[in-house]
Amino acid sequence: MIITKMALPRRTFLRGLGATVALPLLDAMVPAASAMARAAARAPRRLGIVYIPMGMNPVPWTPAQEGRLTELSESLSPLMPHLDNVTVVTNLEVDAAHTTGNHASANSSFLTCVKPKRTEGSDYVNATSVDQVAAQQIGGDTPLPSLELGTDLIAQVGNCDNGYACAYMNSLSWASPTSPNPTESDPRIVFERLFGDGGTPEQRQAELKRDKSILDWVLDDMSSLQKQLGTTDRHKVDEYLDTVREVERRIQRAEASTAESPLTDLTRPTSVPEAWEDHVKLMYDLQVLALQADLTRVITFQMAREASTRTYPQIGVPDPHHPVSHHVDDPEKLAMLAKINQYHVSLFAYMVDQLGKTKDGDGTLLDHTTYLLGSGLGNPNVHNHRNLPIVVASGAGSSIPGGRHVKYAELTPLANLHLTLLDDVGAHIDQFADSTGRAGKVIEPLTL
Amino acid sequence: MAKPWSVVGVGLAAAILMMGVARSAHAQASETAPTSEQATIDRYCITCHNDRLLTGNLSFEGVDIADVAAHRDVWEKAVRKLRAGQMPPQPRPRPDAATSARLVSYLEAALDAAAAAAPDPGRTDTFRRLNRTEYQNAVRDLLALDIDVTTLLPRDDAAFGFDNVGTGGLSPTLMERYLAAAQKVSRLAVGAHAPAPGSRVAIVPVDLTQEDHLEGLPFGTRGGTAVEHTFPFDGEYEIEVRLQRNRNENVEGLTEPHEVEIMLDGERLQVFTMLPSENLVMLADAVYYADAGIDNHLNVRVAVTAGPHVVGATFIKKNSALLETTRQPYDAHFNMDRSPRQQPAVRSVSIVGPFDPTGIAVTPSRERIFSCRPATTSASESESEEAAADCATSIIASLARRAYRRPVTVDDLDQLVSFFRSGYADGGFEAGIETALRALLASPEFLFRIERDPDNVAPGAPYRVSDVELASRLSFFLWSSLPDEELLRIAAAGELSDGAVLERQVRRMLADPRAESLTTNFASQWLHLRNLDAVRPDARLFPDFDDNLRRGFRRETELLFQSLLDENRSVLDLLTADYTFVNERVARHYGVPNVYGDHFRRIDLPEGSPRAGLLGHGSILTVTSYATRTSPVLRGKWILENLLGTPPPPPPPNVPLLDETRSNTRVVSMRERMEAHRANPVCAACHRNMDPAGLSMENFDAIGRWRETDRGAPIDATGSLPGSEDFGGVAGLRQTLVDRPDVFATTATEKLLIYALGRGLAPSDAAAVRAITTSAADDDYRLPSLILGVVQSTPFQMRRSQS
Repeated sequence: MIITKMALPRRTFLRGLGATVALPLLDAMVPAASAMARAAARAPRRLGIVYIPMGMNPVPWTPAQEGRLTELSESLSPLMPHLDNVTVVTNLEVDAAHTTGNHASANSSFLTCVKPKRTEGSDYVNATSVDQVAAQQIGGDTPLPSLELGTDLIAQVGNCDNGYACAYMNSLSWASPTSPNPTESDPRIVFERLFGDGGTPEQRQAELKRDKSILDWVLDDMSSLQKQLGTTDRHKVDEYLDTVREVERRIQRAEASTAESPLTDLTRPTSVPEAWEDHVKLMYDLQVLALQADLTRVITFQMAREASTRTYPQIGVPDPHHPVSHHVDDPEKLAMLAKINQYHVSLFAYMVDQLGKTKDGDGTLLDHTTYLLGSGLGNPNVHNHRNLPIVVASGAGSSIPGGRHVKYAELTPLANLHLTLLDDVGAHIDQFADSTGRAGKVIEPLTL
Repeated sequence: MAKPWSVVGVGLAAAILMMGVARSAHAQASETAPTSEQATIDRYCITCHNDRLLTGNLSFEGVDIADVAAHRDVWEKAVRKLRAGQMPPQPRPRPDAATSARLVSYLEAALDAAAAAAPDPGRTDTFRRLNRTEYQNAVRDLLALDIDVTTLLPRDDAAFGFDNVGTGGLSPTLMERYLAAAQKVSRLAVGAHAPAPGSRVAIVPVDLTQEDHLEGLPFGTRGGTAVEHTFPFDGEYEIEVRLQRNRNENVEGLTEPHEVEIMLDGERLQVFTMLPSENLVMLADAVYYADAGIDNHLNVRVAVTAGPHVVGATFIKKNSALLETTRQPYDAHFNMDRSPRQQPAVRSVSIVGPFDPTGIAVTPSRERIFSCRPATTSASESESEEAAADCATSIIASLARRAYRRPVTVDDLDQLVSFFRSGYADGGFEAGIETALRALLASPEFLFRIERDPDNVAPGAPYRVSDVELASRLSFFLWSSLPDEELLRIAAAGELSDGAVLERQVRRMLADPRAESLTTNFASQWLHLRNLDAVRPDARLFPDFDDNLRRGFRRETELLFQSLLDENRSVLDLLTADYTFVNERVARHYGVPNVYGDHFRRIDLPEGSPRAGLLGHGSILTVTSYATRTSPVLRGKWILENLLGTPPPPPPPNVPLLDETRSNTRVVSMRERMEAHRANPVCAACHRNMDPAGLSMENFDAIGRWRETDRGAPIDATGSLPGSEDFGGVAGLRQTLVDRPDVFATTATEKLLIYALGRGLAPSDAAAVRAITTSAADDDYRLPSLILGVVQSTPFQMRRSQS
């Protein structure tokens, strides 16, 4: 029997009944719904984070100029149309990511800045990630406090990285030190989380109500179960109870937003596009859509995964990324690494472009959104976590002026930038992991 | 090469012989041994393992070897290191082989005696969530419904090599998905209301060669795909077929007329003719769109009844003299630049509907669920609701018993029936059942396997799990699914803990088709077959790799593993089998003549064939390679982890960074590259164990083809295992592994036990592993014996209460 996978190329993302709705996707999919009008009027601040694996080739990455930029480096050149929205930061580090499982920790420490506990089991310990700090403070009013996306659907088996559980490699976002948020890579499932199963607003309301009554019953059942158990197991049930209550809260918010803003009947994407680039772009489209409809204000996106052996023949790199990244200063491999870096940046630029084109309030979505692009590895050849590739994209509503290369003289904790990004989106904490202050240089006014 | 194997290799060969004696003579050994064994420890071990240095966090000071039972963890660690030939490390002096062997057999005998006297079964997690595979199988067995779980639930993270380990977590996102899945599954199973039209698009992998007949489609056809689809409702559906296009948007291989056939359940719905585009203008723009819309007519609209059907789309095979005579260098045909398609291929099949829904027919799910119908009365509304509730209670009771995997209580039923009533009020009897089923599928009693400590057990004490819990342990181990009614009935009657009954159940369950999950779920994770889907060999270097080969590789290894189960064979046959399973595609890849057609058949391998056993399987050789080349490191690591059970230790925490300023070194042969790789003593500590094992497989290239040279240079496939003598090539590797049957059998046992328990193993499990392996040794290490041994073991039958 031939088993086929469900997937659909991007060009036929939207399948009407018998007809294919032409791209651009966003125009076709976004109804003129009141939710957007309301969100636009408020113009809330949003935070996005895009992860690229395995560091960079620093020479073509680093802009020659410091301070005010008039041009970008080779690897960053796809962002040139948005030069004034781009801040390049160099010489940041995540010291805690130096472990024996450097790929796992590059990913897991990027947004937590702490050393993950080494374990292959599920007794992992990391820390609450910076996106979740933001979600706690600015995500409360939206149906989804945060959205965690990726592209690697592939379920690798075996030990993920030298004694580190796969959760470290797969999850950037950690709701608590022991709860990694699962990453979703199937566009259809993302769509359904954002927009449900479709149908009329009344039908959707009825479904939500049913889910709520099931959850009430699950809560009762778990509470009575708890009485039969010992202390440790009771704590476990406490966690489950918290989970179920959180889902209930999300459903209540979804009920409210469904009642106020009937979305038209939308057709779902079918599944994962065959070409990786199409998949990435579709995931970016969904991010723009989710932010525009104010369904969430915090997004993390793992564009590719650490230690990935993906090849990029479409840009002339037939060799797998991971061995290429161990370049031993071989000029050929360095050149390939630079190509991959530039390619990843170009896909990020695709989204920045969409954000810049999408109206939001009195400006564009880019004006009200701050996106971080970066990797938890600096020099991948030696697995270090210093001088990370870091770019911030932000717009007029941000405290970050853009059009600048901030180069720290000394290695500076990435956590400092995390604090500044939190400030920028209206979430404030005093200290984050190994932070030694805020990344003040990033927000200094530009001088001519 | 290193001498550690002098303990493990020559020494342990002797040790093994003696161990047979030692294990049957515990008492003797423990009476006479301690003094000389203590001397061995004092002389060779305590220099590092003392209270002051605590090397490896282990000290033998104050640990009395005469009283092994007092420090079982310490001695289990010691035994493991000694058996693996890792201690004492080079260049420390080592005892001679006989002394080591005596120490090991003394310790093992004493440890086994201690474990027998005071069993420590370990503690499985109290909560184990059904993972993706288990959920899919549970729905299949509960509701007679096949679902594609990958569209419903997120991927499970693996721990200790298996995705059924560490499944206790439940994030809000995951809970939302279970809720959404409950809604979808209950709708599809019951179908109380006509759904809005939906769509599914099945995509054929772009690298599937479709030049010949494919299994699952009728003879006389070529290429295409057969899609299993559960139709939600009776009504009209549109089936639409699209063909593969190249990057210029032209239909590939369309140089002459072809006939496309769309089928439903093997019956022809319609045949379409595809003509090559007459638009031959090769102007810049025109050439890109010459074939625009050329396959738009490949649509049928057809009435289909609810339930599972197979939609096929294929080509009618032609006897083209041209194709037969054109000699092609490759078997793969999908790559426009290197081996283009000779004939068109199917790209996708989409199914959209239902339109004009008419009702819902008999489906396997509805037959399973609706064991009764409410008596139709003309009485008052409340009376008819009561009649409906009576029938619903009986339906729900039977579903809940199976879903909760235990006898149901009145309380269980009351709650579910109240969901029925609420659904009934909204939409009648079937809507009520659908609502109750939806709640059932979201219940923690369904989603979690819960093991509760009995009331009368002291904290931290071992106890026997209940028969009902044992039934679930058994069915999830052997079937990755729910117990069936027979197993549940025996367990509920308290008979399952009876040894003879249990063994009969294991034999029965292994003979059931559901036991295939041991192959598709257990073996495919153990041996990393799942990673094949992720393999994308570089098309420039390996233009002959296509999806047909990827599927073939996986099938070959699955069939070999399954043959061990079906034919009661030794687990060692995995390494040595003088037979394998191939179809034409795989046979051609291996250079095996006279195999025709896409179906798999068993073939006998000639004496000395490099293809004997797993080590010659394309699946294993490919998943342990990079896209562009072989990797002795990955292959060596795979052998150490999955065959020897001694994964290379992770680098020490203070591993120095490679020198960033190191000059550019170009290495030539793989062997030289590996040697450069091992120049750093810190790296060498592990790589000298991994690399030589992998290098012995260098005669197989990155997609498992046999080769004598690599880029013109002859291959030197000398290799070794940790501590062994050097050997030549894969034959030598196989022989060295087979010379130590207990090592591989122990690894197989450990993997089975991790999977069966859903937890990593602790030193306290070592006695159970030894007991299973030793007892299976008497039966030639037959796989079913190992499985039975796991089921009969202490950690499987017992549990330690919470301390």
